[in-house]
Amino acid sequence: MGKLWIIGDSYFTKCIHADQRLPNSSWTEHFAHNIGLEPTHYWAIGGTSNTSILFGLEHLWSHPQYDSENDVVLVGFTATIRGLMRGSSTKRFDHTVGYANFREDRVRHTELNLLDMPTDSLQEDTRNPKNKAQIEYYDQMYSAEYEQYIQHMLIDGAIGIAKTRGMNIIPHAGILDFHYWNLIQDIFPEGHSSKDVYNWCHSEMFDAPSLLDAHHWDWEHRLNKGDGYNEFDNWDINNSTMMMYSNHISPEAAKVYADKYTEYYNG
Amino acid sequence: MGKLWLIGDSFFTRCQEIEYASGVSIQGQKHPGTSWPELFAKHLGLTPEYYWAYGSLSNQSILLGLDCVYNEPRFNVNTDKVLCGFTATSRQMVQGHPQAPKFDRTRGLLNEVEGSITGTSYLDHKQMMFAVSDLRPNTATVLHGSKDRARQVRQYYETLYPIEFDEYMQCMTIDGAITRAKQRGIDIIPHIGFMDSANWNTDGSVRGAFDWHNFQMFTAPCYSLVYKEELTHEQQFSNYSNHMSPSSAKYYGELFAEWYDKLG
Repeated sequence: MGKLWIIGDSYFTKCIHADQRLPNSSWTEHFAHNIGLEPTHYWAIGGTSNTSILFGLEHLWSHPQYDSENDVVLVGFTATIRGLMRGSSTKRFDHTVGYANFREDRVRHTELNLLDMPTDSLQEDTRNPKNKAQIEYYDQMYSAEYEQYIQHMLIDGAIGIAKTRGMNIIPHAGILDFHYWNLIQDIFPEGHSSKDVYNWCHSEMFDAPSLLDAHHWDWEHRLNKGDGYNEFDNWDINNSTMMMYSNHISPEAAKVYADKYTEYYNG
Repeated sequence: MGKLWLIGDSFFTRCQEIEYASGVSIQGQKHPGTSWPELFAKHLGLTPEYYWAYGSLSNQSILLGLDCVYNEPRFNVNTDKVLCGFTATSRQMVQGHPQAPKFDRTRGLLNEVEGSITGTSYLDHKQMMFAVSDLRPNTATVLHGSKDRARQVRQYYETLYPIEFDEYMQCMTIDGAITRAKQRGIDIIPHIGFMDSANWNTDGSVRGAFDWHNFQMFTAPCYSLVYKEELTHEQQFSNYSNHMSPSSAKYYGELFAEWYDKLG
């Protein structure tokens, strides 16, 4: 049986609820089984950045168990406000050691949301010179709009390379396309999707069912909220379906979404 | 006649002598038609078109140019070629002037011209043995900011910036952009440019820093071959705006044309 190699952020991880692992309850596992493949969560990490995801995609080529003839790669993208910074290790980043770069803290994840931290914790955070420098960098030097552009270019190019090298890749927009995590409406008031803000060569992932569909299912069936309800607009951390599960989707919604995604994929 | 669209850093600009008066560089005599990209264009039977070729451009800026050339009304994807030369990975793009409009892809190159984004060559100054101090006034000027901003740049690059990782990601972005250009039907001639000069990167060659899909450009003649001519590398670097004397440029243009013709 071939493998479905899974790369992405928390939405692409296995499901954990109240510290309990729920095997075969994530949408990625359902999808793998639907298309007759063995799910292999290779590089699926909560809070990860697109640069890390693409590093994982690139590193997969050298994985001894990866079989480009029989395996498929599901790669899900994430918010462009996430990035990487230098970690505490004195060792330099080395692309040949793969995930050890993160495990050994040669590089670590960071995101623009650092700027949105409550004032108290921000003040505490700025006692750390690294955090202070990072916050100053985001505040003074970081162009979120430009970063979004260059990440789109990076993603589009990486998909193109993967295809031309013979990888059976399924790109997934993930939360790259969530309005809450990108700047589309700031830049393009008429835009509805990351598809609209870049001239993609590989735009097919934007035509797939969105992970928001899974959220809507949870909001409707678990919170008994009707059409138009959006947890992002009514944020209540104590009653959040998104925070209840490590991958933000209930097992029931995951099954529904996986079936819908499979139908799209097979179509 | 088709065009050869030129995108790159100073090595891809026209040739002009640089003169020095009281330690300040001034523009000297121009040497039209003597740069190696112009000679290469002539070899191809194309008209050289200096589209986005300026000194100290970063790879990100060069890739912006490559992305924009496709939408340039005068660009003919059927008859034109694009010579795209890359540069040191130590150069970056950062937020530009606070009063400039926010970055917007549809504004194309105006994003950089109008200061929505701007280049920083802080690491150039740290790495290059013949570069001036990193705190020279120009550092702040380039960033449209104060010395305080220059200090922040320094703090960021010294504390947080993983240059090896950035080099890796720049290689991935460049490799992907070349593939993307080909998929859009652009007849692109990628050139490694100054990217592979040992003074400007972390490991001697970026060839080994990434598993390149478009690795052919690493087989092209490198600039160092022509610096065996009448002037030293340092003399040519500082005496000419494009860092090559006309005779060195002629030699390099012939070498590159020979290499290109062999590709078929």
